[in-house]
Amino acid sequence: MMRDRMALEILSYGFMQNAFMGGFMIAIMCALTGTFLVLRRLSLLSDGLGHVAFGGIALGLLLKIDPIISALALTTAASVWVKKIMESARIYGDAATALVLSFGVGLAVVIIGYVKGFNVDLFSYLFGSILAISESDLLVIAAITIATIAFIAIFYRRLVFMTFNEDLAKTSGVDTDFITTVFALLVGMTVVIAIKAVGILLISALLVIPVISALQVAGSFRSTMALSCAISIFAVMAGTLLSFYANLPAGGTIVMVLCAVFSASVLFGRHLRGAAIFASKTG
Amino acid sequence: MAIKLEDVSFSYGQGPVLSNISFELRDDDFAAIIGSNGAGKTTLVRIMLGLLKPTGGKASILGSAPEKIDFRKIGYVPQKYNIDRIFPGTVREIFDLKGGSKAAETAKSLGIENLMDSKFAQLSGGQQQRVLIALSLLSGPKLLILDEPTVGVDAKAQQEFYALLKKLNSQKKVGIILVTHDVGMISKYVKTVICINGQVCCFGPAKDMNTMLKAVYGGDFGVFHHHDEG
Repeated sequence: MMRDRMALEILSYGFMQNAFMGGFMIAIMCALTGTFLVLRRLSLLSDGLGHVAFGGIALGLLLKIDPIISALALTTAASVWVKKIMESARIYGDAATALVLSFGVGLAVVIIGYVKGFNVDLFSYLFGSILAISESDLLVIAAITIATIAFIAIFYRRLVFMTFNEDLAKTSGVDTDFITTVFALLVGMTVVIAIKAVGILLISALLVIPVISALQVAGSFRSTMALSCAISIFAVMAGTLLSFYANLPAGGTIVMVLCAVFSASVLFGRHLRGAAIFASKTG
Repeated sequence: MAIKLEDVSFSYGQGPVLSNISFELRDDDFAAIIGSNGAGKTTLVRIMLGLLKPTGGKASILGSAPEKIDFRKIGYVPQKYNIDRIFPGTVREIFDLKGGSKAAETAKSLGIENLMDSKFAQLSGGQQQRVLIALSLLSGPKLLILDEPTVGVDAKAQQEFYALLKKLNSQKKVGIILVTHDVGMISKYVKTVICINGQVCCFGPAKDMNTMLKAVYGGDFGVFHHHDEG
């Protein structure tokens, strides 16, 4: 009775409704794009783009425009830039990521040094605040979530093919350049939106940890994606609730839940996988 | 012609990797490309497939420029170790990447029908190789190009693998181009040998291989076969 009343009380707050709706969509978006990032060994790209977003937010505050808009513009440009650098300078993804990461932080530091008044605003983006998601934010999050789901649904087979082996995909007629470019743009947008939930410093957690947890248990590509989504949604919801009741920062709490899920998946993943195989064989 | 190369050259920017490579292979040929490490074998295959553009000369595959080829006519088997061990896809999901209705039939013909729901990454080297071959055959290709396909595969699985290639070549008339370091298999299975070392050192029928090997590796290099008893 008491518990029901508490649940209703939480949902009666507009900011909690926004947090749950926004968190739900961000969780799905991060798990879907994260699956391909992790399996293509580009896990740290999200971290690099998060730091570019930091520079973009600083630029927005400097120019007095919506920081999320400037971060979106800079991050999507950087995501395409990483791809071009890897191709033209013939360097690996981790080195290209380090380059854009340094650029983002360097830009932010220069702007902070130039304008000394908005440090508090800027640092609020570092750790995120899912409880501060507004209704206009929800519209942007919904639009990008729909775009992400549509892209992955339409190009699913081609994306998996490229993840399996890019040369094999190319020689089977997949336009890998087009798909990589659009995917990079979506990753850039996902990163900026996810900043709302966990902040710049913890962004890679939401893209990477659900996927590496799912990989410990899942028996196929599809089940890896589905399980990543489930873990991500669970962590965002549970972390938000915990942070509300324990009066803790939401971003950090979400990441702690994710780390707990990963630890459990490593400890019990083999048993769960064995049970699943046994169940499938015995019908 | 399965492959026609005319003065093909390639450079990654620091000196030529390939210089003036010219040769032709028939549609039903079974050719092996051999050469020491760094000789440019994989680069040559990538040019044939249209994955790299030659910096000079002209390449054609099944009568078309590589970038204009109908991809269903070509089957490609990449180096196995380029596929990540954490890739979670099952064999069935990998077959679904190419679609089509031949998956069950092809899997059965290669003896991997019982592996369809296994994760690719958890298969043995020989099983993975069979899956990759099956994948390359799904579209019913006229030409199969394989890049060092037997690396990490045990001797028994290698024999089965080469026998399978020979069967595809002789019965289904699929042209085969194989990059290999396994010179022992050449006289038994291959029709044409191409030795390269930045350029074509030798090109000719497999029966002349010992002469070619001396040209590539130098010294008393050659292949001797034990005769099977009984």
